[in-house]
Amino acid sequence: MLDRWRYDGRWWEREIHRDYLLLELRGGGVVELFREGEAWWVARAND
Amino acid sequence: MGGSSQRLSALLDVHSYYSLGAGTASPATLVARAAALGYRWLALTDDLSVSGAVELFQAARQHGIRALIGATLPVRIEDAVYPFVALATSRAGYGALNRLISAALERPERDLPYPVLLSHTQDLLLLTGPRDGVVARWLAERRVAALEGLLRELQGAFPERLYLQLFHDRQRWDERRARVLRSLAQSLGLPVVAAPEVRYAESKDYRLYDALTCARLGTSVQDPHPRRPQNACQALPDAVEALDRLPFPEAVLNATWVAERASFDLLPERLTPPRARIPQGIPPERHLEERCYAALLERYDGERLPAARARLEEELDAVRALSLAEFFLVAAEVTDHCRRHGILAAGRGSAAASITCYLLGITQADPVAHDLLFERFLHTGKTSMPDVDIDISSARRDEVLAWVEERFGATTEAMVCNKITYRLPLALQDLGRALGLPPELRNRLTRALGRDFRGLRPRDARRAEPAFREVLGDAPVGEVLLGLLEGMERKHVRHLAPHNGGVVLAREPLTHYSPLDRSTGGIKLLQLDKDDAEAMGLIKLDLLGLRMLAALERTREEVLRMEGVWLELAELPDDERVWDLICEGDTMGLFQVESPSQTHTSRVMAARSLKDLAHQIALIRPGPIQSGTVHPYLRRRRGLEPVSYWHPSLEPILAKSYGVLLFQEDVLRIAVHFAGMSWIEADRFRKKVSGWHDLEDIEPDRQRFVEGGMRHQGARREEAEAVFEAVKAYQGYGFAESHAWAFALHAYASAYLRIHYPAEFLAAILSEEPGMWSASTKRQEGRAWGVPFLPFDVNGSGVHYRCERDGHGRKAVRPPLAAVTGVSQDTARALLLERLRGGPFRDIDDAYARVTVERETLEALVRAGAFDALQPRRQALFRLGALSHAQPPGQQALFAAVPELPELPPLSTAERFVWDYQTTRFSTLEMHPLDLVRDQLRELDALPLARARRLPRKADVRTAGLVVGRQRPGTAKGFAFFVLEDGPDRAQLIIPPDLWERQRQLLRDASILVADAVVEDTGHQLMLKAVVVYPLPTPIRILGYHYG
Repeated sequence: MLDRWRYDGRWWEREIHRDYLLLELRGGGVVELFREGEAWWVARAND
Repeated sequence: MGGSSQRLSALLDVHSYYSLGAGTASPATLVARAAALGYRWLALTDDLSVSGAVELFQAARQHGIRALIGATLPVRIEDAVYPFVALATSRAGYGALNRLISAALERPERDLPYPVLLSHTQDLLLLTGPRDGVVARWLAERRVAALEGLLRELQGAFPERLYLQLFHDRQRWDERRARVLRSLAQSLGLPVVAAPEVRYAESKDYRLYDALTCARLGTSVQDPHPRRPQNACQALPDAVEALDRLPFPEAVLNATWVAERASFDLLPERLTPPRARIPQGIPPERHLEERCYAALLERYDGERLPAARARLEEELDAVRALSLAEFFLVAAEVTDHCRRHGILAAGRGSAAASITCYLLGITQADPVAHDLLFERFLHTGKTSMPDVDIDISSARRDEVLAWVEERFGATTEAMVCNKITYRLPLALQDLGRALGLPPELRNRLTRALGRDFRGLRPRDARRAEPAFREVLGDAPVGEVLLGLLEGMERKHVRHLAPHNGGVVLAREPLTHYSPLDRSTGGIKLLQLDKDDAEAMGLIKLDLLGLRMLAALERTREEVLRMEGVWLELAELPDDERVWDLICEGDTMGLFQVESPSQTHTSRVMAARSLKDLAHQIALIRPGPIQSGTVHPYLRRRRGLEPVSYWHPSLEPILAKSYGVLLFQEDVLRIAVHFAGMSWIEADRFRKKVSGWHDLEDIEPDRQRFVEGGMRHQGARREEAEAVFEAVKAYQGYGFAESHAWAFALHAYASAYLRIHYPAEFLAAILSEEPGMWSASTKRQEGRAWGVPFLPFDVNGSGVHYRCERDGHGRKAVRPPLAAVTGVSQDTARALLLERLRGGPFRDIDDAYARVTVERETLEALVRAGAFDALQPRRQALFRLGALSHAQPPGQQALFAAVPELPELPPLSTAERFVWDYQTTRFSTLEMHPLDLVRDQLRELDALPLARARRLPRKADVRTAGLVVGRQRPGTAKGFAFFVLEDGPDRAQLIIPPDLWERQRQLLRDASILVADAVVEDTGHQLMLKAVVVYPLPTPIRILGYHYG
């Protein structure tokens, strides 16, 4: 894991609470994930 | 590692709302939250502020945690500014911190040059700062070598007192940054400390913090900004969270170590009076005694002397025990100075009830003769400040303040601040702007609040929901805004402002207690308010400007000029005509008794002595009103109901007020003599009684009080409960007895002058504007007093209202040029000086050429009639218009380029009257605005007020008047009280709550009201209860007064 952070945004419209992870994959790729509620999402992927 | 290294025990970088827009919580809330989460220390480190220090230490004591005081200092290094966190480790360190803050506040940029930081390091611990601190930023800029050099320099200046601050708010790269910072510190041999930056108490407060940040940055929530928070992680972290973010044992341990080093007690027990001017070699106590005993023999003789002497001796014993001699001598220096310079000044307040103050000439009311309570300062003085307020003529107060600064020194004298807290309108503006509401919409919303809601605290905003719906409809932003407002603390401080008159005088430089700032008006200001100053052991004198004292001074000067008589206002004879005037309710212009409610009370009260007058003044106040004192007092005084007491032991205390609570001292005496409290406890109880808003504030005292009454006085439970209920109801402001006496003396003087020198008095109250009534109403009142008005005259009017003789030899009032809207005192003075230099003005051309005055200003003077003696107004305006096109003001024309004057019709009387009101808000004509609509009023069959006054009670009437006063006090249960005027006649119109709701907009906006009403009371002041009201259009708008 390279980094992790939290984002709580747009509270004036609809609340967003996301926990982000930045992972380095075996093989050198980097992927940015976030969890919102129960679901995990991929925000970005670099190779 | 021991157990303590497994959890973070100290929070070293915490911000309250005293970071002004960069924090949301009070110090007390932060302390309570920290204690609940198990922290042992909390450091308050607001941005350039220690305003929360006293509240912090008081709250910390209550919650059993240790308070640490520091501040975040914006330090300028090269071209940029970086925050550093400084913590004081001792009282001397606190003084150094204050000097650093003061140095920053002196600069327009409000930052601290780096060399200045290095020169004030005594007893300070320094943390390198959070996210936007120099370490993180120079690392990001790859200026590693420069950073290392800087840190080494700081290590030299703060040996073993510099710590590299580790922070983590779960923002991007915070994890890696923390590890990198830790490595850097290790390489430099610098200790690290875990110090997350805290800006609010709980994560739910993040929204409010973000909105306030947007307001501060001038942006809206829709616009991204690098300095906005990204998440809710700047709340106080719980132990698990803190360790998860910064799992570095040595950093956590160092937080405890730093906290232990920075622990000291800020709040002293002792009072520290300033240095008085005393003959060399004589101790202050002896000098005080000599002055007092000398005055004692002058003021008391025969039978009265033994009692006065005994009282003086008791007081002097207490003064010696509390080391307060210099406090009284300093207060006496101020009043001595005023007396020597002919400045009217009078002391009041709890210590003013002392014979010491009376003999020193600080107060005028004889406490022995009037049995004023002095125990309060004697017995509570150890931990509570004695209280001396000095009312000074408002016209010369600045002169006195300047003398005080000169006498006591620039570093040992300053004013306390007022902590301005959010009310709903200002909160709407700030948060509405953050939510992207345009200014017009915000202003509409503020206006829609009206008088009903504008005084609300933001957290009670839901009560104003109708106003929100009216303007915002169902738009979701309304609910978001309400949610933010409800999340604000009750006393959220927005900014600091100068206090009205609280001057602090100290022995040491004031930076020992607080930083010094300057207000925008140039006033030297502490970051402490009056309660903080008291807690710090500082002596405060309240030097308050009183417009009535300025009016009395001015009357005295006018009388000297007109009659050659010098009036000693403190020695006016007792005059039955004064009491006749007051009993009649004819009290316009009289100090403290000219409001409609006081006018009505005057007739019922029928005061015939200063004691009666003091009682009357004290009666119409929130305290007595809320406790239901007013009607029982008046009825019992008139013998309409028997005097009774809730318990017989209260008779010695309340006999003089017919068994009801009237003065603050009554609450004190009851707490001591009935409930058995000590004087110190009683004083705290009294403050609570006057200040409580929620039941939870006052109910905890019930049991102590009731049981005290049962034990101490043998009262039955229901009796003791009844006494408690009466005392509890004395909520809000109530007079101290000495205060009421001081005011009674001024009220008597104002009445005496009004009777004997009405023209001079009218000129004075118009110039100095004491009281509540507009110039227009005072001018109309002058007609009833038989005082004519002379017209405005550019060759006769000056800067202030003056008394002059008219063509019939009568004393009349000449209005000043400065009374014309848009004409400043400076402009009036310039015209006056030019008149003295070059002779009277011949016409508008002459004035235009000789004085550099804006065309609009001259136009206003013409329209007000200032040139009427020289030429008709329309001609003068035409000339002025032409002149202003031909040449600039203040210059002679080179060529006669002004066109011929056409035939212009003269102004009719009605036109002249309207022009007068439009430019000066009154007219010198013997007319009233209702004269313009008489015919319409006759068509409506509206009875003039003078005739309505002769109707019997309960009669129905239709009448009309100009609205000159609007009031809707919080104590009045939804009733509004208007004052209608017709010439010199006035009537009070009572608006019931249902009528107010039905016709609110009309009542808010109308200048002339026609009312169908029922007569409630007659006599000098007619009182009517409105049933229906109708507007009548008029070109005249009156400001009047609006309260509540």
